[in-house]
Amino acid sequence: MSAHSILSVERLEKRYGDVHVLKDINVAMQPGDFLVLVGPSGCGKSTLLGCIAGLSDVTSGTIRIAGEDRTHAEPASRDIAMVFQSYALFPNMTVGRNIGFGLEVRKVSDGERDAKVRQVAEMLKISHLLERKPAELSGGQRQRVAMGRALVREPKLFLFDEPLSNLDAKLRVTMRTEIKRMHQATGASIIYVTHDQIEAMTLATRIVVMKDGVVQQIGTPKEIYDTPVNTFVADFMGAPAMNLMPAKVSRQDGAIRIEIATAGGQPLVLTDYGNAPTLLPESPADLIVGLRPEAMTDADQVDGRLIQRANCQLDVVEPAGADTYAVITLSGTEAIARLSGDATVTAGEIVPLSFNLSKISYFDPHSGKRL
Amino acid sequence: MLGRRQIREKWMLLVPAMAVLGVITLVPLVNTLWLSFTDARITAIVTPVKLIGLENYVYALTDPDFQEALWRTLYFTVVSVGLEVALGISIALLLNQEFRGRTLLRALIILPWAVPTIVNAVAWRLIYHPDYGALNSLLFQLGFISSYQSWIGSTQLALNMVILADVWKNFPLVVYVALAALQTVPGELLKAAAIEGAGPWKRFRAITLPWIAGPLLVVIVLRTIEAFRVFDIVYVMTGGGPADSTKTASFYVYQEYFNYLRSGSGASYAVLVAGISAVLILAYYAAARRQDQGSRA
Ligand SMILES: Nc1ncnc2c1ncn2[C@@H]1O[C@H](COP(=O)(O)OP(=O)(O)O)[C@@H](O)[C@H]1O
Ligand SMILES: [Mg+2]
Repeated sequence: MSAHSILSVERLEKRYGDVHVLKDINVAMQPGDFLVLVGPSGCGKSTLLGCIAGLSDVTSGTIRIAGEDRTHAEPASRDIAMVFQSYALFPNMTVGRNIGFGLEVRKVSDGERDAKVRQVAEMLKISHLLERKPAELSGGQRQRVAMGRALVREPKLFLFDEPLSNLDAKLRVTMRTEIKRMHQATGASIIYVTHDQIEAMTLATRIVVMKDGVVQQIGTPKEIYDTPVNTFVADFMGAPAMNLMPAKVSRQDGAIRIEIATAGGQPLVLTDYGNAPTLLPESPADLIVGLRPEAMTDADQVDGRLIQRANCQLDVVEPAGADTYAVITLSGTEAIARLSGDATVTAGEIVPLSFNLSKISYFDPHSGKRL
Repeated sequence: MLGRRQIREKWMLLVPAMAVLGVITLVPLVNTLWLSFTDARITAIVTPVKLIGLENYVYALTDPDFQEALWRTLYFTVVSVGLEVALGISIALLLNQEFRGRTLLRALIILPWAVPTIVNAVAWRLIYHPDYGALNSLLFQLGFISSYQSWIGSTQLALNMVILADVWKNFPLVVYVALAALQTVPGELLKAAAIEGAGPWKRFRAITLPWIAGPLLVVIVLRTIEAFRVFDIVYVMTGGGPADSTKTASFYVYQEYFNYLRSGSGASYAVLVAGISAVLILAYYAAARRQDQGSRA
């Protein structure tokens, strides 16, 4: 691992008795990275964050912070700050004392502490709340106080554990933007846990997708979105999810022939000229083909190569303002096509759709792995 | 606004409870207060009772023996409740940790409290026995004392030995209340404090203690009331001796009523004992409120 990593986690294992919660976790992070840990509930994100924070012991493996081995260090000596989902504000203390608590513990002089608290409060627009108790604040205000408590100490590493999931949808979007702005302004190194893949996509410079205590893929949001390493990542990241359709796939004159069964009986046939056929097994095979909804539209200019046309019957049509989603039954799965917002289609209609094959993915049907 | 019907329902629900409370507390309380201003006596034949103003109170408060008993009672109360709270919280903190056998230990710890006060007192009298008491043999065998002591036969030691017996009996109550409160402390608060750099003691002072202060205050008030009117354990262990060294204020109430049959004077002692414990309790509440407001400091 690079000597410049702000954090490196190597071969980390964590067990609670018989329960193997984290399995061989390897993650490295550069200063200024916004690393998002994303995965379904119970996959071990909080546990991993807890290990990094020193709140729970690791079973084996190493945790380095700013190059130093911190695997067994006390939380206080790791130079980190953490924002909890519940905010974990101290209810008996005012907002001001909550924010300044870390400085108080570190015996920073009163004057300096007050100045720093006020500066952070100003930045978060909560200066007028400093004398209040947490119980007298709204959810969004509490969230800001929790952020203030983390920011005031200027730690090496920030840990956020689902900080926005207790907020209503509108506030969540606002705070998401603020967190992103704060990251851009300070260049802080942040590890951010969420089960919300949209948060992950919008905030991250790098994403770590986890499932059942195993890291599935690490990459930039674009890498994760465009080239998911397996069907789990393909399905989990993106809303609506990537369409994963069983298909008969074979090599054909330097291209790939894809045949997808339809409800009507006449299969949907596409030809992928973009990928080398050597990607596939030599003989025709049943694979899973992945196409994002936006690769199945009414909008793209058909060129016959990357973008091909096929007629599809629309089972359900769901206008969503900017887009219209249409459900098509392909190979027994409900595939979703993303049509333009002003498409004038109705359910049951047979419509020509353009399939953009530039970002097509192939997965092994048994292992789920990307080919 | 409550309608006429709701008002009637409200009173229908309230009246039975108020009636019971009135009969079992208010009437005796008013009666005791009234008696304390009279020269009433406990007699076989009905004798006229005369109002004598504050005479009983003046008599009680100018009696140097009673004054000494009040200080003694205050000492008993402060030391025993203080030890019970300190011990209770410490053990509750231990029992709140995870270890094997925790459930069993939690169940066992209530036992001293489950023993009746009189039985506890008799047991401790045996433990303290100057000739064959367990305490003597334990300390002697460990080499802490060179000869057997008369623990409750000494005016220096007796009160403290009674306090020890009282603490033993009553600390489990504090353990249970504190443990129940500790289980409601959100783990994330302590984790957040740890990340902010607070060590175990700071976490306890800044997070845990304020969180459990409310329930603790209840048990402190309860124990203070009980401790300040302490009678039974002392009566059984030392009878107030030796040389009045364990004679608490309640002994005077008992003595006035049942030895001298002066119910008027006895009532004034009782009112004084109750009044002083009320002052103690108000002091707790004031302290708790100051703590709450002063947490900014
Ligand atoms: N203290 C614990 N004892 C036993 N199992 C635990 C403990 N904490 C978490 N787990 C288990 O570890 C798994 C991961 O939990 P967690 O890290 O909280 O998931 P996430 O934050 O991704 O939702 C879960 O299956 C959970 O039941
Ligand atoms: Mg979690």
